[in-house]
Amino acid sequence: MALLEVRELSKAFESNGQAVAAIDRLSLDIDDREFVSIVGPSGCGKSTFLHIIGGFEKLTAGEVRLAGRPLSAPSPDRGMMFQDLSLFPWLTVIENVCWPLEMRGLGKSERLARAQSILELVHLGRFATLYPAQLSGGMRQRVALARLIALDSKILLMDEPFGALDAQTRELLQEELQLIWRRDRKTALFVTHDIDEAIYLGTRVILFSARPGRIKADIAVPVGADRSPEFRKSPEYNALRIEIWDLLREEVLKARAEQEA
Amino acid sequence: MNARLALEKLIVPIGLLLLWEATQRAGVLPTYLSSPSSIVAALVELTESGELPAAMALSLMRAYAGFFIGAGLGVVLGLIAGLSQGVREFIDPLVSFLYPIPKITFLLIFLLIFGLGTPSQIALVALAVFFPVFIPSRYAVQSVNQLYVWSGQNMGAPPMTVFFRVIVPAAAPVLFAGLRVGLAHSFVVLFASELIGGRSGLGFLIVDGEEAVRFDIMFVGIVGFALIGFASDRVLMALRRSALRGQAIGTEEQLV
Repeated sequence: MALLEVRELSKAFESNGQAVAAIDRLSLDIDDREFVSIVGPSGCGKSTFLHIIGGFEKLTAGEVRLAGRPLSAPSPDRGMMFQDLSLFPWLTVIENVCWPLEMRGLGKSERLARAQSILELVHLGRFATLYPAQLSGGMRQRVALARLIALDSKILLMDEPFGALDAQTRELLQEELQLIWRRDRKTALFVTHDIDEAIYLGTRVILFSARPGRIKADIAVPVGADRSPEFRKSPEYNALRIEIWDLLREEVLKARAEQEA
Repeated sequence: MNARLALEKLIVPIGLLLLWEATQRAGVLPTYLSSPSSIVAALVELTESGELPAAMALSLMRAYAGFFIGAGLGVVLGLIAGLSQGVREFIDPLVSFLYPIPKITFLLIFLLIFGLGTPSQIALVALAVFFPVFIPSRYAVQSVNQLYVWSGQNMGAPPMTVFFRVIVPAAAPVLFAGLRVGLAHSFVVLFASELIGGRSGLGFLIVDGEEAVRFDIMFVGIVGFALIGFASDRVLMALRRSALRGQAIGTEEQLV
């Protein structure tokens, strides 16, 4: 049995009195320890899909089960990382990372020690007492990653977490995330619009079609592949990149045609 | 550097005071505008007699009592209305109907209910403070970044925890803006209520000075209002700074 089972999931929005289908009868199985990248043209419903898995938005029809049990409200077993601005600005870096630990009922000294060690892992040990507003965008997303690690979920949901960062920062964070993921291999769903990121991080890349979102392609990235920065220069990587880009391009053009119509 | 900056800030007020004194002595100004030296003399006189400290204490007590009642209700009801559609539908029409009415008109009603004196004045201040605190509190909750709430829920916080530890702190900058306006309103309305509703406090000191043709005393009352108003605002701003440490960073206000 797959860890996450999505069956005939549909989502419709109300827009100017008309129902607009965002996701249309989408089915998907995700196994334990997979890192699934989701790419697709903008507006294809990939973020909405993640929000539904997270329990933040309700589905219109269909079913989603995690480890055989239907999903409903948001819960720490599905940890979410957003693009930006989800850290609490009134708390310091370490207080932000302590929050999920406190909710789990850890004592004060225990959660401070645990939060500090997670901050060391993301290279922010020296910035524990600063406020999010005093950090760069890349550092803020590292804190968000630390908070996600502290949450210790069964499955990680990441909604374009590096989308607002500059190219160099993004590559560094991808490498760090890759190393962290390799340590404990949590199942992850990673939404992005960046094909390179999708291939570099994923063990599997799922391509969403233009709205309404369906699965256009489901492509395995060789698991054994060496995910050092060198992987980005390998022929396998480039072949995948070209394949996915051609498929995505069709959908982007479709999405644009629909917008212009 | 700091001493020079402080001095620069004082140049304009000191210059104006000197100009005021000089023009009064030269006989250019009408006597009812008094002069800084006679105001200081009256200030000393009324402080020694205990009249000024008593009036200030009384006015401060009335303003604060009214402010705490009005602001407390404003914040609590504002937060509840921000959260609940049902409460909003009930309370919004009432607020938009009552808000534009000059609050001083309610003084007569309060006088009939509570009689002449402090309780009526406190009630009026509370009423006047309620609106400028309620309205931003209500909107603050609704404009809280959805991602904060989602993050809180995602980390396993129950609804009450999300409310007190996510929504309230996220709304705090706007709540403080409302409290500041409310505080200023409390002194304005208090003065008006002391003109009509009793025979004590700074407001009464001012009318009494005017009627007795003691314009210096009238100005002492005004100075008294300025002092308690200024000090109260500074206290509120200091509280705000410590409450909003993380949120004020990078905004201009952290300099003030």
